[in-house]
This record gives sequence, C-alpha cells and structure tokens, in this order.
Amino acid sequence: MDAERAEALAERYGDTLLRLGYTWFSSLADAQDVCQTVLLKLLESPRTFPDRDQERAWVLRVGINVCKNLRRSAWRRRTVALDEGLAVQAPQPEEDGILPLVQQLPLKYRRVIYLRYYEEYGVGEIARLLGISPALASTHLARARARLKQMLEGSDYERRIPE
Amino acid sequence: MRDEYRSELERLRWTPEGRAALVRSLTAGAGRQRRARRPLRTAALFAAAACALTLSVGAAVVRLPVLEQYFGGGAGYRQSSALVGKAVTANGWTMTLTDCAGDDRYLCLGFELEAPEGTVLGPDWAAADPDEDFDFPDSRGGYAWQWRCPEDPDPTDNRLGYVLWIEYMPREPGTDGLNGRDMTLRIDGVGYIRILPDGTREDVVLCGETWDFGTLAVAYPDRTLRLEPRLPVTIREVPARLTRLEVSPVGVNVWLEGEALRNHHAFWGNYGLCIDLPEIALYDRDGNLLEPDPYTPFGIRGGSGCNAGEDPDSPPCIHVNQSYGYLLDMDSLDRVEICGVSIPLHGGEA
Repeated sequence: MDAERAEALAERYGDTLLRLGYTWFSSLADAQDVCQTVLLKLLESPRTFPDRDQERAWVLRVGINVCKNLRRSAWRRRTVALDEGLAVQAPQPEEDGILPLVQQLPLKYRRVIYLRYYEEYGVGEIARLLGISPALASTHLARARARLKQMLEGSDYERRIPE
Repeated sequence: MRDEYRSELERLRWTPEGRAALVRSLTAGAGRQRRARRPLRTAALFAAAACALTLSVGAAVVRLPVLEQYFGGGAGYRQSSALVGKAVTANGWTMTLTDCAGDDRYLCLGFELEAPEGTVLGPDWAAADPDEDFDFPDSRGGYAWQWRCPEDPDPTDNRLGYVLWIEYMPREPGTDGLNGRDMTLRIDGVGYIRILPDGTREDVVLCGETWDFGTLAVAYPDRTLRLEPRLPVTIREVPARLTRLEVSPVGVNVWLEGEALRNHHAFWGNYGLCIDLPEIALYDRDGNLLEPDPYTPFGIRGGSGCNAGEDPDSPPCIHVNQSYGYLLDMDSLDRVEICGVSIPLHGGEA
C-alpha cells in the first residue's frame, strides 16, 4: 500500500514539485530534494481534501515551506540517494529560451512568475501561498514582468509578456 | 511568453527510471520513518514499565563489537575505531554501546540489543529503529542521523546490532568536529511506524524500555589527513581552486573555491548537480581504484553542499563528501586524483 500511495503521489505531484524546487534553487539536485521531502511528508501525514484543486494548493504550500526551510541555510544539503543520472529529464539550455531568463531573476520575482504563469494563480492566491500581502505579490509580479521585458528587449518575447 | 515559459518548464520532468527510484526511496523512507524524539509507548507497555522499572548501568560482556560486524574487522576498523562497552539494562533488556569510529563530521556508534533469554530478535527487529535522543552540548552545529542494522549473524537468538550514523554540520564548515566531545544519549525503545491501508499511522513498539546512557565522552583515533593543497583545478571548463582536502577512514572531503564558481547554478543551468561534477578518484598503494559506495548513509555524495556563490559576501564554494561504505585503511592509501590533479597522501608534491 505504501508503494501504491507513493507511486500515486509521485505520479500526481512529482513533476510539479520538481519544477517548484527548480524555480527556487535553479538546481536539479535541490529540486529533487524538495520533491522527495514534500512527498515523504504527504506519505507521513495523509490528508483528505474536498477536491483536487485544494489538495494541489496544499501540496504547493508544503512545497514552498520546504523550499523556504532549505534556503535558510546557505549550505544546502543532499539527503537523497537517487541515481541522479537517470532521475530527471531536463530541458536543454536554449539561447533564446525564456526559462533561463526567468531563472536569472531574483527568487522573489521568479516564484511569483512560477505561481502566476505556470500554476495560473491569481494575486490573492499567490499572496496566500507565499505568506505575503496581495499588494506585495502584485508589486513583485509587476517588477518581474518589467525586468523580463528589459532582458528581452528586442526579442519576439518582448511583445508577448502578458499583463 | 506564458506558453513558452510553461512549455520549457514542462520539459523538466522525472524520467520513468527516476520516478521509479523516487517511489522506492519514498516507500523505504515511509516504512522506516523516524519516530518522534519522545518515548512512544503503548499504554500497556507504559503501565508495565512504570510498575517494574529497574535500571542498571555497568560493563557488559559482548560478542563481536557491532561496528566490527558492520564494517568488517579489517585494518581500517583496527586503526580508527574505539571500544566503548557501556551497557544499560532496563527490565532485562540490555542496550550496549559497543564501539565507535568517525572523523570530523561523521560519527558511527555500534549498539547491541540483548533481549531477555528466550526472546527472538528476528526480521521485524532488524527493520525497526531505536528511538534516539542525543545531543553534543558543547557543539555549535546541527545533525542528521540514520540507523542501519548490520547483517544479523543469528536471527534466531536474542541479540541484534544497530549502527547509528551521525552527520555533524558545523555552523562554520570545517571549524570543529565531534571527536572528543561529550555526548548525552538516551534511547527510548525500539519500533517503527506502519501505515495502514486506510492511510492511518500505527506506532509499532517492539520494546518500550528506556536506556539512558547519560553523558558519554566520545573519542576515537584521529586518522584524518588534513591538507590545504591550494591547487588550481578545472571543473567542466570552469577554473577553481582546491583549497582543502580531508581524507579520513570514513571518506574524502574536498572543498573547491573560486570566483569563477559564483552563481554556478545559473551557468551550469539545468545541470546544476554541481556536487556531482568534481571527479574524485582514490587509489591505494597497489594502484587499485577504490569504489565509492552509493548506499552509504546520506546517499550519493550525501553530506555534500555548496553555497552557489549567490551571497555576494561569501566566496563561492563547493564541498563534496565521498564515502566508501567501510572504514578505509589509511596506511594503504596512495593518492587521490581530484579533477585530474593527483595529490599524494603520504608526502611528495602534487
């Protein structure tokens, strides 16, 4: 049963948590640590939710807290014994890709970009997930877009940064 | 931009092999979860213990020391371990700290549990963990720890060994170690947590006794070679400097620094597995390459870390720990090659 639950959780949230961790740390190793830590917490503390959206929001909240805890130490640690070479399929760096640019933004900006444009949360939900005020979330989002526009000046993407 | 960002991020995903390894790791972790650091006893066990608790502390006669069973009794064990032989008995159950070994950041403690005559400590017991509560009052760092159970030479008898691996994380890397420090240690029972089909958790307490070892002086032979090579190396075309190197019976520790490593997660981009990049090859005097052990507690290069150089006030640094699964024979080591740079371990120049 443990294996079935673990498999179901890994299937449902493994990639999401990997991307969340990567957004935070720009490191696949740390992203894997985040993913494993959160999924282990979910296995240890099973909870039921009225719907999948609320479950997903809770998983993201736990994931964000794990990221915050990991980041408190400048010396992040490895605790996972996975075969790194086999573990993750990573996008190849692309000169004109948007992801490398987003990852160059300060964390406070890239985390709102992730929650807005990948998870498609509104400002209020982003604020609740991050534990900040909606005004601050909105400010970070606006500044993140401005920074990206600056970085993308002259490229096709420049015209396509959504409000 | 929204679609491009989403599309690029979605290409980051677990491979089928990686997901399977993740599930295996999660299953193993959940089946052997750490119990809370408090005595976890069933009411019945607690009542029994309360009315009949008898404790005694004294020397015990033990069979083979547990770390000798676990690591094998080779030259590495003989050079770098210390016998302890401190036993605590509670209601006929005796827990003996048999021996210890370690270096500046890792400490291994061997324990033998002896049940009352007639009790069989079988496979259930080998899958359980003692519930530890320890501290090093004079240290200023944090800890991680894991239990291992060495192969039981006789699963039908009333004795079983356990090994406690402790990783010490000093507040300032490399500033102090565990050797010679006082340690307070108490073990509150042996058990595990089972997750039932309905998802609820069940504490399975195999033994609810408490073994209080009080304050112990933990000391073991210091065979660590501490070098400051300050040699230039290249990691995936990025120049760095090998500032510190420690080779101990437990493994190899390497510190790489250099301004070119600043923000290395960004320029190694999706290959941000920076601590996997430095090549570390350890050779003995016969020219044999010693194979690291990925199943050593704390994982492949576990205990490694980096500061990524994101903090402008700190020099960028990568620290890599590589373990071998047994205690190295320090007298047999010849050289270590780090990113292609050879460093003799017993005199000579790199």
